[in-house]
Amino acid sequence: MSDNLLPELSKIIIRSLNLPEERVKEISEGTTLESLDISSLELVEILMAIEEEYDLHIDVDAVEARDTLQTVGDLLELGRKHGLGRKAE
Amino acid sequence: MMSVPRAVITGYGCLTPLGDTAPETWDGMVAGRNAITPIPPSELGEVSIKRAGQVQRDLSEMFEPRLMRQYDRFSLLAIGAAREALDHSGLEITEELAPRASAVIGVGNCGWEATEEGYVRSLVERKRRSRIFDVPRVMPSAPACHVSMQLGLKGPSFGVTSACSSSNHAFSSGLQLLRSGEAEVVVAGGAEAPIMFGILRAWEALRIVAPERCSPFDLNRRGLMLGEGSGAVVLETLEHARARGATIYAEFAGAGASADAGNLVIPTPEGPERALRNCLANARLNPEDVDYLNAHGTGTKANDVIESTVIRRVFGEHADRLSISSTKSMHGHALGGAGAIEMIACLGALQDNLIPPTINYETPDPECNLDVTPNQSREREVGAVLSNAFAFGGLNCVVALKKFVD
Repeated sequence: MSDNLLPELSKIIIRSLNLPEERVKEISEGTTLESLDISSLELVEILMAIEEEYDLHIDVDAVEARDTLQTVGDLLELGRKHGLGRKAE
Repeated sequence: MMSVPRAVITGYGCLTPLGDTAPETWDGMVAGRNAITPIPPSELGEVSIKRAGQVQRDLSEMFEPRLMRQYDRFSLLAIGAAREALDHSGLEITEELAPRASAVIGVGNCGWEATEEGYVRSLVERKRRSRIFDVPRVMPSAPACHVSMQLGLKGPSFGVTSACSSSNHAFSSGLQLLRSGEAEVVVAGGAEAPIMFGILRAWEALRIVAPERCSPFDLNRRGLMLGEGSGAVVLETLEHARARGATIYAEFAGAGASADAGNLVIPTPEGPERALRNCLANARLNPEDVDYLNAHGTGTKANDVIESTVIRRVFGEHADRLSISSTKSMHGHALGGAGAIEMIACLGALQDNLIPPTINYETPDPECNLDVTPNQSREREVGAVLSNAFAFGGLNCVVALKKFVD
């Protein structure tokens, strides 16, 4: 990865879930959302936090998100599709 | 024809300004303790209401921080009371029992903590988006949902709302589930967390909140004190309780309700009178069977006179032998949660043959000339008790308990 998106996204995830800050280190692109015990509503909350942070709109609903996103890498990919990271370029 | 099942109470719990458990709360009531405390200032603005009954337990200990985001304060209060009630009952919710076990929880308001946080986020912090848990936190059925989920109750479950009568209507609904055969166990109760800026401002506008203390039935009473809290009981059919060898704390003898269909905030005697008479009939009690009546007793000018009039009308001469008290003088008026907290007073009175007092009572009001058990609890044999709840909007509900006799 050439950008800082993973650590930034990891921070958003940790913040959204009210988890201790040090757990950021545990998150990689391959980390599954299941291993973080993320519920469908929490997943949408994370998407909303990404939207807020990067001022973009991610077009996906709660059920779709749960069915299509398995890993943190999938989340990054979805974000990128909707413009995540372009600001930094 | 199959007979209608009898309903008994086999466990109870609460979270109130007087204590974090039912025994603590009951001890506080018996001691006549004033649990009204100063309200911490709000960042949102000045409110003239400075004191209220507030639950002292730190609710953030109940779940890990991540899960806490799912719950409004009123749901946490309900869960706390329901957990205690179930523990107290010793009942295990097995897979077999679960579909026949219900949660019915009364609330007067919605989840106001989440409502207020949502507005602060949008209007003060100017965030573009609300929180994902706002909808499930705010919904008035949230306490019932969470009690059902926490305890694994899969029978007919729902929230009940009728302002200050909500808890009694919830108990009444629970009783009906047992009597109709739809459930064998109901965790019934009520909860309210109204010590929030927006609700305080709204009550300030009504101008019926007392400045310092609540003095029900006293000539110089100046209004109610708001309070928060919750209470819950485990209701079971007698057959179910017997089969598992449960300790039975009381029989839930009956309930009666009515609507004034009159003024929004000014009570009339007719509606409450019908509720009381309906309750006695439903419980198959004669007026002279009743030893203690936990009054609605808000401490407002209007309520206490109307309620005294109604008690005289219904009980006739027995009104002079009836012990009455308003425990709201100690814990405040918890609105939709009030009846559930007062249920603890009724159960305590039945268990211990002790009448909890009306505190802050100094000067008798000739228009409220009843024995309101002034300032000190009193020993007396208690066989049957009633608890009144009369709500804004004229929705009234009275419940009756009696000592269980085989």
